[in-house]
Amino acid sequence: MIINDDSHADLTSHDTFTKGFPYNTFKRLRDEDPCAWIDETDGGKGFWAITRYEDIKELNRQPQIFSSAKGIRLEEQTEEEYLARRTFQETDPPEHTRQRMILHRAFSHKMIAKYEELVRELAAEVCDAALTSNEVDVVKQIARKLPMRMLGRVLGTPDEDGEWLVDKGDELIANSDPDFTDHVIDKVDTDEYRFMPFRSPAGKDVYDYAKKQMDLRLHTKMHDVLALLLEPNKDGDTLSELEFKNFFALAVAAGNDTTRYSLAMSMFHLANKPQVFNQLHGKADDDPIWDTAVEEFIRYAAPTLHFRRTALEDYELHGKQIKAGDKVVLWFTSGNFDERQFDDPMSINIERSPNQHMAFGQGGPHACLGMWLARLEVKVTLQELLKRVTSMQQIEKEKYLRSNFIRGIKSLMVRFQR
Amino acid sequence: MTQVTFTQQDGAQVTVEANNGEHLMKLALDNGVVGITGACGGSCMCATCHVTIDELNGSLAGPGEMEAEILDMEVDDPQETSRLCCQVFVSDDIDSINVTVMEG
Repeated sequence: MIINDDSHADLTSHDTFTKGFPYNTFKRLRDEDPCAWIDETDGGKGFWAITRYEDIKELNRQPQIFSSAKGIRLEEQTEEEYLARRTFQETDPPEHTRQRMILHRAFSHKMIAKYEELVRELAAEVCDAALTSNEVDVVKQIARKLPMRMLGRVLGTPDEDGEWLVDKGDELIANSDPDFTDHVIDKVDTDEYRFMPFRSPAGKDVYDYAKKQMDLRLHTKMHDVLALLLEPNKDGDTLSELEFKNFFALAVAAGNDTTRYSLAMSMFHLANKPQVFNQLHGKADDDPIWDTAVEEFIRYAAPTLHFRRTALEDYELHGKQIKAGDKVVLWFTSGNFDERQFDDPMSINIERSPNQHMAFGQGGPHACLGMWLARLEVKVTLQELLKRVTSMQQIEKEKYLRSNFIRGIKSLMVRFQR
Repeated sequence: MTQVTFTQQDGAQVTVEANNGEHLMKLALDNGVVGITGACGGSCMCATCHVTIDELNGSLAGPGEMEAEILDMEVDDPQETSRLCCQVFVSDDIDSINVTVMEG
């Protein structure tokens, strides 16, 4: 396991995170400077880093002061770029609530629970295919394969488009990692794509694809989620074309990678901690330990490192004066390792309860729309994997994504015994 | 102080004294009430803190539009007294409140 022990890591650099999450930097910030001003090394105007659990929660629940409507990543955007690219993530209530409730119809706990058998079928297929070898890159062969195929099934896009959509999703959200895109955001000029999602040429491809899917459903009666989203809600409200395209791009990007990296982190622990493996191995699918285990794996994985807000008014925190217009960055991953909230946060305790982690941005209006799907996919995939093996062990050093926005193990070689 | 009593599905009761401004989901989690998980962290976006209000000494505003919509989407057979307890806040207007933990 790589421990990034640099306690003064540059949080604005994508390269920092290729060495793993800088736990010690965040511990130092939580302990010594929980509302720290961070200068950006790439031309940004700097930001406040909020790193304690309680503070993140407190700011996250106040969208009227800490707005998402001026961008949600560190990147500076012009008003024009923002308007072209914004998804409902980049809006505040009541505009946010309107779109969110239209989308919630398809992603509710009740609706997603109906997909369990389908997820199990896909997970079994993916695990069987991966386990034709005893040494497997489980991120590439399992964690990367499942989420987009599943999202395709939920949304209603054809299975054969799944691989293409995964590639596009990677190009979008991993726009800072040369393994996933030719247009690395901080290395090449991406100006011509500034109106596209994630400032990426893949954004245009995804927009075009979304438009085709939209037209198809407007002209042919279909019964899938995309069709449902295009139907008026009970108030007669629908998504506009741009809202639909931006939602689709968000689903392709976010539905793809965060679940992948949650699964990757889960398998990392299973491959390195035999006691965790043994605690879960042989447990029935309906054993309640699976629910607490999945929450704990996701707490630890916390793939979305941060979301940024912009202060709409002056605000004082820990004696620091946040000014209206300042960028305020909520480091959710840091919150999940805050000793003030979690006993022994660096340890995996698969029976941890309660486990009010914030990997899904819980507690604010932007809590993850796909959280039930993510939980279900992680649970069922791990269940199907463990049914097929008797032990698993990491055999090569893992590799981390180059991104200060999404945290993930992008390669993890594991030896299985069956 | 307000007295809040949770009745779990197994019939066991948990009674706590609560301060103004606290919501019932947090009280439930802090006091180990079985059946309340609060999966969305109090964002009013799931029903894992669904309760019915059995007895109320005092006054409490009804569910907001979003809460009503989520109850409608997430709960099979919502009762008239159904609430998401992350949206029920303790105040001076409430002397005591008894709720039953429901499936969410």
